[in-house]
Amino acid sequence: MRDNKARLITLALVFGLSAWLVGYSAIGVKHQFGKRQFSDLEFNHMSHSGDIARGDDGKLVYVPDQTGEAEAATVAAANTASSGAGAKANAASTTKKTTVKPAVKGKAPAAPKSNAQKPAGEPAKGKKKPACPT
Amino acid sequence: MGSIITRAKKLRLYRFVTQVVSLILLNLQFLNIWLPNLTLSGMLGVCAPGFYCHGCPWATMACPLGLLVNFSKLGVFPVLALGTLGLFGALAGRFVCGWICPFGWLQDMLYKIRTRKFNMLPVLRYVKYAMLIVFVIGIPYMMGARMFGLSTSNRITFCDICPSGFLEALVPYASMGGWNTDSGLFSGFNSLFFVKAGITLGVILISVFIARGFCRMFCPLGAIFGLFNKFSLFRYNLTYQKCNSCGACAKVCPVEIDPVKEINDAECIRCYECTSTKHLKMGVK
Repeated sequence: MRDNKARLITLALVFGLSAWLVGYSAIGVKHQFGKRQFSDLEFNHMSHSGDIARGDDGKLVYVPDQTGEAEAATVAAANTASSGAGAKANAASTTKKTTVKPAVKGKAPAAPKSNAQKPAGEPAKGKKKPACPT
Repeated sequence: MGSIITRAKKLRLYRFVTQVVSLILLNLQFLNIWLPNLTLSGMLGVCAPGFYCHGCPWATMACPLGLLVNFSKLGVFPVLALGTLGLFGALAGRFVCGWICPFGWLQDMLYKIRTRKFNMLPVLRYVKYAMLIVFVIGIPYMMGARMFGLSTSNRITFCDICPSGFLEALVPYASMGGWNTDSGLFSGFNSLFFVKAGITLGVILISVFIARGFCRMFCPLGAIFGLFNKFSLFRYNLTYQKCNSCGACAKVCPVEIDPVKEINDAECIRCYECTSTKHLKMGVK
């Protein structure tokens, strides 16, 4: 009986925390890179398509910005979420701003491409080969 | 015993159907064959519960292990991946391994090959926890943080040695590109390719001879879900009135555990085949 009580408490905590994490990801987490803001789902996709990487200074950068595909910008890899475990973890690695050299102007920012449009691992022009899982 | 086997076979059929449906749902982009304009790119950020490769040309969702590896590399907290794994795990533990995981289905099919079968050394079950800590979290994080001279160009994370990635992403892309080195994922028949091919071949061979060999020895996702088995909402309960310690549950268990002695063990993949003896039942109690 006592074991079952402990189990139910653990279960409630894990369910609650997990549901909060999923909800927080869906609503609360926004990833800011310069003028662009990505939802957590977009960020998840970009993390494995190679569009997000750690720069030499250890800050997160949006790779198309750095390689001149998009309009040059000051890349702020800051997670704007103001609270929560995710925000704290993100903030530790992403709050400082990194200035990137200006690239070709007048070109519209490239939106993240789907895997149907862009085969995983296909290097874009002037873009380093994505860090592909395989 | 005859009726137990009949019930177990029926459960196996249900499980097979569910696994095939999951395989289709996780690779819905195959509809491009008939619907070229269909893109499900918005789904690619959604974390799938099962182990497969989001690098697959037909992938609908993201692999949870791939997300954990990439987020460890970036030094970002994997909010969605942990939330999704927590929800599925808290619901029914390793249910995903038994009923949803496409790689588990592949191993089930491989184990049907008629040949001599072997039991797994019990100590090998702990390898998967080491895989989780070292190759999914530790090394990718150290690579991102450039610790110990590791950089993101090093190819020693779990994704780099993943047999699922080799089968579902590298082989399809390389085949589509005529095994040309310009075809994206395929960088030629170099040492890395042969390492991956060797690991994949090893996993296939293990799965032929040992039931769910990869899941039980190496799968980091199995290690994560196994942690939930003890307290998940749906779990096995022993019906004491009916249990006569006949050992029938252990005989039908595909992962070689004794469901009576090790009830809700971390190795249990929740295939429900032991419930065919009616000495155990699944419930929320």
